[in-house]
Amino acid sequence: MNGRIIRWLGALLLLSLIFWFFPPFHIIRIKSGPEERLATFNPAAFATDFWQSKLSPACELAPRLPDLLRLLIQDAAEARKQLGHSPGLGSTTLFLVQGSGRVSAVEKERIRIESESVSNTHIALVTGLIFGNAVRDATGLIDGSAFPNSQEFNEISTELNRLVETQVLPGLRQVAAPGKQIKFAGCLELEDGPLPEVIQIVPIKVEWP
Amino acid sequence: MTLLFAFGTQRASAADEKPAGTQAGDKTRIAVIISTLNNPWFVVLGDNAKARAEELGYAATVFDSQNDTAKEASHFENVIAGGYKAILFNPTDAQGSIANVRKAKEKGIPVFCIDREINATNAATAQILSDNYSGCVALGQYFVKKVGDSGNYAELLGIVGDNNTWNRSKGFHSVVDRYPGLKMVAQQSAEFDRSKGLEVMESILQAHPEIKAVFCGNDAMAMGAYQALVSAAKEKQVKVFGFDGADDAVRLIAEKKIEATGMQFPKMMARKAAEFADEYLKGKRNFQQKIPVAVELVTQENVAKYGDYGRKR
Repeated sequence: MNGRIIRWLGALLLLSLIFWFFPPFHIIRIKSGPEERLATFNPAAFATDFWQSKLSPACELAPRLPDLLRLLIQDAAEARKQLGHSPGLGSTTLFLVQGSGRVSAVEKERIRIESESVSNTHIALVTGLIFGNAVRDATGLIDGSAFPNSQEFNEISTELNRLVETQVLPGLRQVAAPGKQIKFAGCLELEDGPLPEVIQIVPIKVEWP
Repeated sequence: MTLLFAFGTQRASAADEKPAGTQAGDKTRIAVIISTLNNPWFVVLGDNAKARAEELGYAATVFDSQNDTAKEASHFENVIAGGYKAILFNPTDAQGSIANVRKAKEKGIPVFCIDREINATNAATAQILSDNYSGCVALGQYFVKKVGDSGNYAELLGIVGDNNTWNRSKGFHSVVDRYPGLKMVAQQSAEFDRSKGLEVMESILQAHPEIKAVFCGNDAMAMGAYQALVSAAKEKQVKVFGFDGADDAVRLIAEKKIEATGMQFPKMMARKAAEFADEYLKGKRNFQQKIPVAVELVTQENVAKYGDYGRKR
């Protein structure tokens, strides 16, 4: 009996050694799926860092709004190519601009600005809820191709819009009154075709000279 | 004897499953692998990819993955073995389809994703993707405009493994959730399927007869939901919103039976993918990895501009 047990144990040991050196299968750890990666990506931190390190400095170098409008009237394709960004295929171009003027009216969801007039176009700064990708895409500095899962890329828009609503709009709404001089930088979206009657700008920076 | 039998069985199986496209003659072959041909929208996607590839001088074959990642994998194996030189690919699963794309890449076959992405930026040669999130932001804004800023609504989700499902849902909610008076009382997947959309809507109506609106992650589910509403005589009470720009949905919008959809441009995306494959095969290598394609809102106000899976000429 003892001999038999020893033979069985010996066979088991031999089999174990064989499987140790020549495993019949491998266990491979599953790499992070989208849920796990989404859990580690911090869109709020990304948006804050982008706002401080890239967007704010870019505002200083943004084209003046009247110059952009003149170029759009003169040669829209060239204006879009030189000064705008189109992240993919579509009829929308996004621009980062700066401008100045005088508050002409404070409405429920926007502030009208009287500025250097170009072809009877009116200007307004949006003060209601902010939606869309203008803030994310106007500079062309965030590359969607760098994000394996586009949900992360989209979360950045949500967070940047939240920064506008929490960091820019409260002060703007509080101070704006008809007649006040204003300097601003912001983002706008334009569809192909003629300029709209009112150009709506999402404000990124506001100053009261 | 056992080994001979097994070998014989293997040979028979291989003969039965001879890779498609081996009879194409001198033309370079391009494969078009589509998630499902059970949905007319994807039929348009596949047909247009094939047609454009053929216009460019290639022989093209469409493969139906039937929403099954395993079947998709089998198509990839056949395509790789069958000597195809490029793949125009509509994935079944953003994560699960990555391995298939990598296999093709390892064999030097470029893969161009159409409409749906995979969660990798170093596998496919390029990915031409509808900007579902932005499309549903616009849809969400229109939803609030038409439904008002208070009331109960339901949401029908698509396939949970498809990133498009979540991009659309999140885009929609990024707007609608900003209105605390609007309450989502039900959210359930109907897997982008019309019949399931009908069943799920029937269940939701039983539990929540008071709802004012339903947002559906695609037009097939919207059509199913609308059918359920008609059967329950609630089609005037509940506003229906879809997504895709399918012909039947656009027609119902024109008839003022449903409210809106988001027009994706399957023909444009499919043709662009075929053109990219052509450019690749002629030597181009630097492609933007992810190329978003804008989605346009189709409403009862502007529906006359749309039809046939795009803008009317």
